[in-house]
Amino acid sequence: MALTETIEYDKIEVVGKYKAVQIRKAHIVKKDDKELTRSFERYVLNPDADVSKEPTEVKAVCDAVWTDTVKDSWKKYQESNSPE
Amino acid sequence: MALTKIKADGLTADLIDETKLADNSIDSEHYNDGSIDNAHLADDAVGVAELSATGTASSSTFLRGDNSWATPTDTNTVTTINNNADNKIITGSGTANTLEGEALAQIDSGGDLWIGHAPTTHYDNRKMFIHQPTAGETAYLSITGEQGAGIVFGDSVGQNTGNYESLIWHNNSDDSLKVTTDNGNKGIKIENGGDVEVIDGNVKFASGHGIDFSATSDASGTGISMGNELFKDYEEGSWTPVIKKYVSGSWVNATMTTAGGISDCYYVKIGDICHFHVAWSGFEVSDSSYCVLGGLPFASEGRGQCVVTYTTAFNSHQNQGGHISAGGDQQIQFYHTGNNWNAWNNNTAGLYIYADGWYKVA
Repeated sequence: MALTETIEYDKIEVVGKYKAVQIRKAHIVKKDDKELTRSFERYVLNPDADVSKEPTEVKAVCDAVWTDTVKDSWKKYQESNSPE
Repeated sequence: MALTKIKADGLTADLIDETKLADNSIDSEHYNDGSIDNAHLADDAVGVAELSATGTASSSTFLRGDNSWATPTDTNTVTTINNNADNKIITGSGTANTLEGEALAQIDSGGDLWIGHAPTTHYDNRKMFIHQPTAGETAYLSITGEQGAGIVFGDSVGQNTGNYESLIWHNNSDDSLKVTTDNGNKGIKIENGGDVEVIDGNVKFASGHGIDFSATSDASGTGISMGNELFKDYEEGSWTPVIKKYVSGSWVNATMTTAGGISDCYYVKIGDICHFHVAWSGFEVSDSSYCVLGGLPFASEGRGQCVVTYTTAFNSHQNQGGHISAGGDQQIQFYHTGNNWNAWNNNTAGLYIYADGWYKVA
């Protein structure tokens, strides 16, 4: 009767014009391989985010969708909404 | 004179005939058992002609127990099978001694049952076929019973739970229909009135699908336009707020002297609207610029708002609201008095902020 806790990135979604990568990180608790609970933590990565510490599957999605064109568009959007 | 010796030249022909033999002079007591058997009788030595039965021996008579030659009388009747052919199930016909081979009820060489259709090429794992041969009509399988009726599914034919792992069951007492798994313990119940009850388990939809409310009336009025009636998402979880600063055209995380405690930052997404709560205390930031709180759980599509209920984190106007932009942002921007940026209380220990908000997600 062992309890185990694992983390699973169970949703990696690409949304919006600037290809924001929405990540759902699931915390899963199992007892003898039967899932007892699953809770979620969310965060979003934009094309200027540092993904070096992200899990492989997240990095792969970011690398695939964040083309130079997308990065440039996001940068221009940020600059156009500059608070300064 | 008694016959005591037979000379070497034997007995002349007809020396001993019926005249020489008295009645009963040679009967069973005068020969030993087995002394007259097949070995002592030549072929045809005792033929039909030697039998004294009454009647006439012929190819159509037989010797009956009453020693008479009799012609057999056929008391059996011959049964005819109409339309007989390979695989057909034989049924009664309503006519004496006549059966019918059914073209629409057959069992093929693989043991597969066919009702309403002759066996034809099919997937090997199909064992029973019911077809409506009449165009424009539906094929029904009728299962009825006093208490109810159903179908069980499993991997075993034995008298154990392996033969009813899943089942479909109609209950006559309330005219409901259950479709269940786990030996009837989990599944759905369709009530007589049409309501669907989940006995145990959840309702799951493929991504992008949900509950369609298009049958309901829509909002109306000048300037009102209904956009969508599909409820396709619900989610709850946690998120981590971060204080942002603006550096060279980008929003990056500010430097936290003390991270503090994030005790209760949760979100609830209903449809396309994300509701969130912030409860962050005991933090200290050193180099923030504009008053921006990032880390929202979804990218925005429509605008939203945040109401601060309790904070010491701002330079001024502590009980103000925040704004979430529509362009894919995941951050709350705090202004005051029109369009003036607020600012975080840099280098002040023990800051806290409690707030709630909502926005439309991408």
